[in-house]
Amino acid sequence: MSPATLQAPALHPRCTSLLLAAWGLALLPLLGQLPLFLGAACILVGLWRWQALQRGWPLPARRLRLLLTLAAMAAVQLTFGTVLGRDAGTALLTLMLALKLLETRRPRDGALVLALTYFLTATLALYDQSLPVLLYQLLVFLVVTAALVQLQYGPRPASTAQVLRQAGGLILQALPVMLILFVLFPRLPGPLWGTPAAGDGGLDDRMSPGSISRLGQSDAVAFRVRFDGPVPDSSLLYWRGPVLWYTDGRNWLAQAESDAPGSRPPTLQLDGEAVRYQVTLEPHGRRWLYALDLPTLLPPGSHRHADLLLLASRPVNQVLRYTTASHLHYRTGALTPERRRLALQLPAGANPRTLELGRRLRAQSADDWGVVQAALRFFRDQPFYYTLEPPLLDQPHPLDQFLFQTRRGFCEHYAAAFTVLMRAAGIPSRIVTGYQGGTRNPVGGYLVVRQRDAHAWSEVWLPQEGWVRVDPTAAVAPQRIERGIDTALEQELAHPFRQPHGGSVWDRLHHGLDVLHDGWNQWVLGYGHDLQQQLLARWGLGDWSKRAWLLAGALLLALAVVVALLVLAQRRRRDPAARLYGRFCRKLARCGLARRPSEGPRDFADRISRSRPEWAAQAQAICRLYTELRYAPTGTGEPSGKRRLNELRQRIRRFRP
Amino acid sequence: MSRPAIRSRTEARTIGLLERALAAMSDIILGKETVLRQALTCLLARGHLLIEDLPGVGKTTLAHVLARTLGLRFQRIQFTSDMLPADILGVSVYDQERAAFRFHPGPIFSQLVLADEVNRATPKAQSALLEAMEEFQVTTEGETHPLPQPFFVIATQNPVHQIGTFPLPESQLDRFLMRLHMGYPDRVAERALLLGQERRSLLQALEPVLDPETLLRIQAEVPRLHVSEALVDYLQALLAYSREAPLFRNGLSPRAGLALLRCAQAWALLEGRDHVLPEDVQAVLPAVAGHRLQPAADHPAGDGDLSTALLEAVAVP
Repeated sequence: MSPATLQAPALHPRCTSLLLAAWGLALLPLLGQLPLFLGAACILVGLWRWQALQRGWPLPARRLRLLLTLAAMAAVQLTFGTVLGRDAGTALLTLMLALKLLETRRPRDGALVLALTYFLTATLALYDQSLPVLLYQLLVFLVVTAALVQLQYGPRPASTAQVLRQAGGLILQALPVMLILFVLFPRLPGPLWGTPAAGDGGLDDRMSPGSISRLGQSDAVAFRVRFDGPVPDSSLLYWRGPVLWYTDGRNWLAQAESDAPGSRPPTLQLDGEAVRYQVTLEPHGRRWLYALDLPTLLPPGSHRHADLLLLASRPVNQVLRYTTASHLHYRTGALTPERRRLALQLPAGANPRTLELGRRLRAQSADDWGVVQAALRFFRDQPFYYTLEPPLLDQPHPLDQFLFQTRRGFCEHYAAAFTVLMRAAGIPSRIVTGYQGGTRNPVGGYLVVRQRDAHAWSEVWLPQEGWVRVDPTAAVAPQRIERGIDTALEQELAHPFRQPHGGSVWDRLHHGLDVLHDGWNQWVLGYGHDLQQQLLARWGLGDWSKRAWLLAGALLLALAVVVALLVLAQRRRRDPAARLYGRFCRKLARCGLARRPSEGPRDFADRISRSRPEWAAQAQAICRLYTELRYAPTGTGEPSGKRRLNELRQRIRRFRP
Repeated sequence: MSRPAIRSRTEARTIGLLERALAAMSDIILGKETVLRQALTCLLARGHLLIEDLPGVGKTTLAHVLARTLGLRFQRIQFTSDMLPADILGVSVYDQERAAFRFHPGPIFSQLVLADEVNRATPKAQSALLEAMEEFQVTTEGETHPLPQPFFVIATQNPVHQIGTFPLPESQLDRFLMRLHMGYPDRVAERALLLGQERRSLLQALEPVLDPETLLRIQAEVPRLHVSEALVDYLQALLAYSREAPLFRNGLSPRAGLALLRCAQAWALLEGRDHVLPEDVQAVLPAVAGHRLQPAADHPAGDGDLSTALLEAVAVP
């Protein structure tokens, strides 16, 4: 240790406790992300340091600290198999910072710990970027900054309230800079460091019985939609997702785009006006963008799959905002032989009774549409029930079991059964997954589509029409389509905090919070690389050098404004007489007679009189007025004081050295 | 110079009296106007004075002149190493006629006490004096005897030839409101001294200008002098700097701050003002703070430099 370190004073206990509080606040939300035993280790280390502070427990010796550090690194390596990446990196940072506390005795260590605590707080954004988390981060920043301020007081600490106030002031001063950096700092096109996909998935490009009813329990928002015009009828709100072609009798799979035969866009015939709307999509880690059947306006950077599905160029890992338009009435064109073959594919030997029913329907009906009607009639007339909790289909022929025994199912059961029936009857058909309906938020005037609005339906190909949507669920539970999933499953979903129908205060609060969340998504999280490009291009800032100048200029301006405000605030607090006297002193300083800071007014007046006798009378009069105003019993507040203040102002104005 | 702001006739009279007293003293102690003014300031602020200087520069004469001019009863105590507290405070003697103990007051029962060479006495005798100074009363054998009013102690200390002496510790120095150095007279003053009349006879001829009652009234006037917010700001800036700067071993205590304020008020009164200016604080600070500031271990400097450094470092707001 160098002599300088030996002499450095120890951290004041009050500073240490504030530092520990800041660290604890930063650690708290990360505990949920850490493996349990690592979190417990951090807490234990923190408690140890706290006891060391409170009761004078000894801090561990250097050898033990080294051992603990190695153990922590080994633990992270063993738990995650790596020390890199988001999860392992955060765990390592958290543990190392906790261990650093055990050797934090001097202000130098304290500053390091606090700087790392800022960083630790920032890692929270790798897991969650919602508004509450940001507010919490600001709170932690406040406490960390307060601890840094306290550090500067050294051996004579200020009260905690005072350092918190000062830290608040500092954060307020930093706000303009933060806003400028938010708007202007170049944004990366992808997420930082390949952050793992956020969001709880939503729909997949495969389907099996139970995969959609699983989502039926989830309140998580899938996306929010703002229509330019009126919201279309709910029976038309089919948000298209992955299209499933291939089945093994139980599971359904989509085609990879590359091996989709005939990927060229089908010829479309569109009827009526397009509906324009904006979607703010929550990250789901997949490439598809949800849109109403049938999207005709492609958002920038996306294209339309042959299955009439919008695909982005990259997986959606951040909140994404896009504008699109759809035609709700359309006809698709002809079907290529390869696609016809795929649309009729059936696994050999599976579900024999279902196939037999399909063939029987074919025989009874005149044309394809007749078969569709007959199948829907079958669902309607037989005692089928729509339920979130269907019995398990565990026999070798699940569709047979469903159609002829259990007859209780969610949308994926009906869609799968119907599609297989159609294929058995020789009609090309496929399953479309996506979302149906949505809840209107009366406060924000937009539509919220949640995970439990997930849905699956069928499309059949008819010679004159092309692909036609048929929703067998609508035959079983028409209210699902007309009035949403809550009405359809009222009994099963009847718990008090479920989605609102009425207009109670609770409902309004719920809607209001969603509006807040939506605004946050739209304006903060949705402000990514593309929107920034658009915005800056609209300001005529196409190239990077201009943007760099703007960024630098705006930052300088913001700092100048902050400094000017501080100076003004300080000047306003000063006595008016002192301000006038300052002007007098500046005038004299310009002709080489500067007042020394420690020089009293009378000494200064006497010095002026000695060195420049021609100014003596004026200087003495000004000095007399000034000392009376500042130091005598009559202050500037009283009438005589006001008069004297005016006289002082006049004299100083007239004084021209 | 600005005209003094005078509020009433009695005040005008007070100031006139004080100026006359100062003039009378200056006639005898030549070329030491500032020291005289500071000594009088100390007295007006109801504090006690420590003079540190070589023998023969006029410490005793200063005490005599003050007592004479202000009309105070004077007593001189020469401190020696075999001195006992009773030699200062007085003793209780058994009175056979009245069959009771009777208190015989010591030399301290006087209005102006010159404690000469206070560092020659043992700490025990010193603390007897210092306690009396602090309390304005003497307590022996369970009986409390108030000291006469006004009560003013001038202690002298010889800074050289310290062998066999007990220099006052820093905590005891704090009991003295001011510490002054007389210093040698300048050339002109010394010439006048050499050629002039003998000082003792001049002293005998000196007529009192004030009486104890007037002095008490003026003393009561001092704390009422106006102190503005701006001046308190300055005072606090000085105190804060003394506590924060690495120059000083310890900062000025609140008691030192109060002493500074009282002395500045007394100084302003002597100047004939009804309010305190930063210059008043600056005038008294070396005498008030000089013996309370010690240089920090790694900043060796003379203590005279310390109060100047303090004044130079703090801006007048």
